[in-house]
Parts: sequence; structure tokens; C-alpha cells
Amino acid sequence: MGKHVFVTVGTTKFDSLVQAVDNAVVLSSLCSKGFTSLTVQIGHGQHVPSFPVDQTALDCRWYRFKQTLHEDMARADVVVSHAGAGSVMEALGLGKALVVVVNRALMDNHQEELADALAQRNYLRATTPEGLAGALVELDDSPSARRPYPPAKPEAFAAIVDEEMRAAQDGR
Amino acid sequence: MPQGGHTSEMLKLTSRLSPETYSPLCYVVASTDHTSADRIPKEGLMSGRCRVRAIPRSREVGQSYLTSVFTTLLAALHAAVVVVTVRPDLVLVNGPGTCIPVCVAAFALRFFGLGSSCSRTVFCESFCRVKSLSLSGRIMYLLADRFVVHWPELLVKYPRAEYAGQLV
Repeated sequence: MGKHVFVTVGTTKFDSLVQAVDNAVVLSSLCSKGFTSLTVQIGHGQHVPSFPVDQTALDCRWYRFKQTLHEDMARADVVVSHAGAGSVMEALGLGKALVVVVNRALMDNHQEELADALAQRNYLRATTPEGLAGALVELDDSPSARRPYPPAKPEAFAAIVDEEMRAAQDGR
Repeated sequence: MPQGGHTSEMLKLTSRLSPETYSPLCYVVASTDHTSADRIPKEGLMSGRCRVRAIPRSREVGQSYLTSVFTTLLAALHAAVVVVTVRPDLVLVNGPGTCIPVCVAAFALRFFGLGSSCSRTVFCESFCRVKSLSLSGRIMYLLADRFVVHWPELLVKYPRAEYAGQLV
């Protein structure tokens, strides 16, 4: 079975991301890398993809929203996502090759800080809509090309809370 | 959505707490946040005696700082009622607008001897904050007994913060 790409813009819209994917050069480079299907979640965006590619080689679909994106994420080999923490964490948690596209049009951009911090540690690739075509053409989705995201340790937080709880109860 | 993110993070952070130790347990949510109120009984740590209390938001996302002063006072009044009735040993917060009035109320009541005499506060900053603190974080840096962050980058500017590795 061929490989699958899933693109998600999250709960709002991110037309420049959808437009960057909906591009003949990008789509044919996906074909040549062995991808056989592409699903794009476009949210409230105005740009509806036309998918300029031979669709017998690359099966392309789009939709606006689903109750949960989990299934689409889980079946993907590569996830291209907006920089929202929820989507980023979900894709990393599933161990996917992840390209995060930062929306510079957003004010007060902590998303960019988060994407950069994770990219610095080689958990994902961070780019902009302008850089996405290049990032996808160069993309190496083999597991050796990235650092696996370690499983979370909520027990470390529980230890801190337990200490404080004991302090509160001892002082009572 | 930002509130939903806080709820998701809080549910993950508390996933390893012992339900026996943390009972009774009270979740405080914003009165307009029905999604979180629905999620807690399904996904949250549920001790034997657990309830969900709603208070008005002190600040909607994007609301001006000036009007926030008045809405914060209203929220603080509701929060004070919750704190006086619950009398928590421990207040655990991670930074949506609802958390400040609860902490201010707990702090004030502790000061006036009305709350639990030795309640402690643990704050966990949002996972998204790598280099700077949120508004809630900057306030809670002054009030919280423990201040936990997800990124070691923040320790340079905030030495009282704690980094305990990857928590979510």
C-alpha cells in the first residue's frame, strides 16, 4: 500500500497553507516520493483545492471539518499541520513525520515559538506557507530523519502536586 | 479553543494523581465553557466526592485590560464563594482566565484566615509558552507556591520556575 499525507488547518482557516499544497510541483513531488493519497482539511478557508495532478497516481480529497481528525492523522505517514498545540501534540504523539506550517499573519504568535522549539530538537520540521513547497520536495519521511518524540511523563507533575498536598496537610 | 487547550492539558497533567488522595475534588470551569464541563466526568480524575463548579470568566479572549478589571471583580466574588465553601488544601491551576480569581480568592482568604489555613497553590504554564509567560503566568509567578513550566528556556528569566521534563 502506498503512503498517505494528511494536511490540517485546524478549527479556523489557513488558505495560504492549502494553496501551497494545491500546487502541481508539490503534488507531483509527492507522487515521485511514493505517496498515493492526500487528504486536506481546509476549515473555513475560501480556497477549495483543485488538485492539479494525475489523480489516478495520487488520490486527492478534501473536507472542511470532522468531529475528530484522529483517524485521518493515525492513517497518515506524513502530517502537514498548522502550528496549533493540539494538532502538533497529537501528530507527535502518534509518531508521525510532521511538517508544521506557521501562520505569520496571527498576532501574538506563540505558536511560532512552540514550533521552533520543537524543530530545534528535531522532533518536526517547521516552515511557513512560502517555504512549504520546498520543505515537501526535500522531505525525508524515514524515521531515522527525525528524533522520536518521547512519551509524556505526567507522573513527574503528580510528584510535585503530591509534595504540596503533603505540605498543606502537615501544616493543618 | 484556547480554553479547550487548557482543559486538555489539565486532564493530562492530573492523569497520574491518586483518586483516593485527591478526594473531595472540585473542578472550577468558566460558566460559558460547557465543553469542558462535559469532558471532566468522562476524562477527568474522578474521586469519590467530586463536583464541577462554574464561575463567570474574568476575561474573555481578546477583551480589553480595562474592562477586565470589572469582570475580574465579579468573577472574584463568585470564586470567593467557591473557595469558602470548598476550603481547598490545594489549588491546582494552569492559566485560563478563570484561574486568577480563584487563586486571588484563595490567597486573600488565607491572608484573612477564612480559607483553609495552609492551602497551597500549584501553577502549570501552558505547553505553548516557550520563551515568555502568559498574563496568568506572570500574575501566578507572584502567588503560586510551585510554578511549573514545560520548557527549560523559561528558567533563565524565571528562576523560581521548575522544569520537570516533558509532562504532556
